[in-house]
Amino acid sequence: MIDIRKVAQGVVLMCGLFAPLLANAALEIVITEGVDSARPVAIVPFKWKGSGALPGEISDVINADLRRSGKFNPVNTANMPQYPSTDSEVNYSAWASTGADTIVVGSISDTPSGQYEVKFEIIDVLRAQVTNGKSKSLQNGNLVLSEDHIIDSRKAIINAQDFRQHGHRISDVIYEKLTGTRGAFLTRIAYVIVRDSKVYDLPFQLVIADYDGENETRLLSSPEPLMSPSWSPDGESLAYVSFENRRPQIYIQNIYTTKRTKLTDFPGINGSPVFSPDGKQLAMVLSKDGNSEIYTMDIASKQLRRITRNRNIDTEPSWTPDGKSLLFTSERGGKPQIYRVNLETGKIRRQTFEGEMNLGATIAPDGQDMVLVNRTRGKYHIAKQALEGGAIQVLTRTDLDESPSIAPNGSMIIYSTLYNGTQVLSLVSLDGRFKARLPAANGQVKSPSWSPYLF
Amino acid sequence: MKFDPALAKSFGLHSVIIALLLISVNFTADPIAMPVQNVPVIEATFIDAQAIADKKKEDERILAEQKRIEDQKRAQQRKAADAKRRAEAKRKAEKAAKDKRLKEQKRQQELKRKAAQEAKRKRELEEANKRKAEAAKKQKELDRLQEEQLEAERREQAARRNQQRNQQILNDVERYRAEIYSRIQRHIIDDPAFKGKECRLNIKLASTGLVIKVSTLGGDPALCRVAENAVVREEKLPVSDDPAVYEKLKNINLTVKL
Repeated sequence: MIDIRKVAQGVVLMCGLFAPLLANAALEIVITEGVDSARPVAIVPFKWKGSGALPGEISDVINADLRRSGKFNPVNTANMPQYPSTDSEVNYSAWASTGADTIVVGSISDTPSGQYEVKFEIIDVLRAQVTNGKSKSLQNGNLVLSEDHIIDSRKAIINAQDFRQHGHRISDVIYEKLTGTRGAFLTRIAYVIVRDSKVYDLPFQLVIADYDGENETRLLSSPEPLMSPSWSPDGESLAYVSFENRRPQIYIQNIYTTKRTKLTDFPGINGSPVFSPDGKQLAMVLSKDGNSEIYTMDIASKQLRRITRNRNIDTEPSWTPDGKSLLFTSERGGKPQIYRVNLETGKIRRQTFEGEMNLGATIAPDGQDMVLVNRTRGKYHIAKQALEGGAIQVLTRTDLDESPSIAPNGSMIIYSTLYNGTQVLSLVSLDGRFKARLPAANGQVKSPSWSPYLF
Repeated sequence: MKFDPALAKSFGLHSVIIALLLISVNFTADPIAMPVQNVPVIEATFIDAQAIADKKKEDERILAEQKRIEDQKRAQQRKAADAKRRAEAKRKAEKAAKDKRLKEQKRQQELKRKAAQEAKRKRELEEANKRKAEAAKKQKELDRLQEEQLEAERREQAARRNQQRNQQILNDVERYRAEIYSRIQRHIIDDPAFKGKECRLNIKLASTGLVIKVSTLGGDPALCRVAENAVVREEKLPVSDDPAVYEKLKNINLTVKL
């Protein structure tokens, strides 16, 4: 005998199981993981419509920017099927078959005033292939050509000396359109170069360069060590440590006026100055009270506030994005580890537990992750850990990594590392997948600091 | 015990009739048994006129007497015969009446019996009908149960077949889903910039697997472009020849959530 209830239950159960099938529902597919690769894009060399030689290259800068970001794999110019300069000239399917979803075409022409007009279009060739470049949409009740395959198109008048910078600007636009995140190609880095003291009278140099190391500008040269440059949030000043008076002193210097202010001259250590997110305070390390401790100083009044009080070394302060806490490195647990101090309550909590040592922490702009130097089995690497705890993720394989600094969009980390016996700057993406080394300078390069957004 | 008053009356009446009949039989037996008187007809030896006249007169008187006796006898006989006839008639009438009564009684009885029988038959019929109806009802109930059981079995079987079919479709859909997933996924390049972002697309497929339409349902524009391109790049996605499976594949909601 069949138990009707059981059958009924079965039927109900089966109905439950197959309800999504029986109903005319859409098949759900969820992709939570992409391919570990760089996106192919094509930056077609911008067509020069003027006479004479071009004062600079733009598409090369864009190509290099996109490639260096690690996210993009620009199509080699030699492998391009054509060299269009406007959307109307583009053979969409030919480009789609190169593997690139997106291409950038543009042109440069000279103006009567001696300037240059730069035009470009970012084209979604796959979409264009579907719509044949003639998609229509309703606007104010009229069917108009929407050309939604053109992701963006812009034009600008620039001066001869701004070609490179304009290239970075275009890279920022492309990057933002394709990733949804603001690009950081127009940012700069500050760092210290230590040149050969046998050749240079002033071997210690504080320099500022484009994020890619180009357009290096010397801000300061000194016979004595310069250390720990740090950008003000408005991008106009740098705080740094100078030994020019044979002892460490903290200075703030305006990078445009080069005017500078000596902020500290305490006995002992005066180190690691870092601007607070609102730019009004400076966190620093002083040993005037006998031991290396963390202090904050109100820049306007030079009022000091002692933050840590411990017989072991506390150093390398770093602000959380909300300005309410500091991360710092402390040896209070024996070996250096990262701690966090709440500036309101003074409460201190240890943040890192993995590895032999963790030091030099800095927080990503989203406030979620901290980037630090991790020592495991004697090797110093740049690593990442969620601020709220979790596993340490080592990002680099280079040697003796130190001084990580994060780009304002949180995508890349610049740090100094030992390469062929020389200290150089390297880039690594925050997930550790993309790595690039900046061109070697004549000397040891250290203490890089990534600027905030500047423009 | 109670006597039926009609039955008692009938009994009494019958007893009386029977008694009367017995008595009447006694009456009629006597005249029949009476013997006839024989008289000597020739006895004289001489004849004279007187004497002959006398004798003739005497003879005539004797003859008349004889005739009178005979007439008397005959009348008596007629009377007796009449009586007998009357008695017979009476008896016959009585018998007829009795027969009639008896017949009537019998008829009544028969009627009664018949009525009773009829009643009984009716009753029995009713009972039989009732039994039949009950049996039929029972049978019907049984049939119903059986039918239900059969139906349940059929349903179960159908459900099982359906389940098997559905399972097959489901398996196929899963297989194609996995294929479609990997075909699209291989064009989606991971980027930490997309972390925590999401895009939802709707994909319409022709029965050949040709991507007819890709529309954005919502999400991060940059990620949606990547997702859309990944689908468009495939042009044709794997679909089954089985229309039931194709039905489940033709309309896809794709979520890219990196």
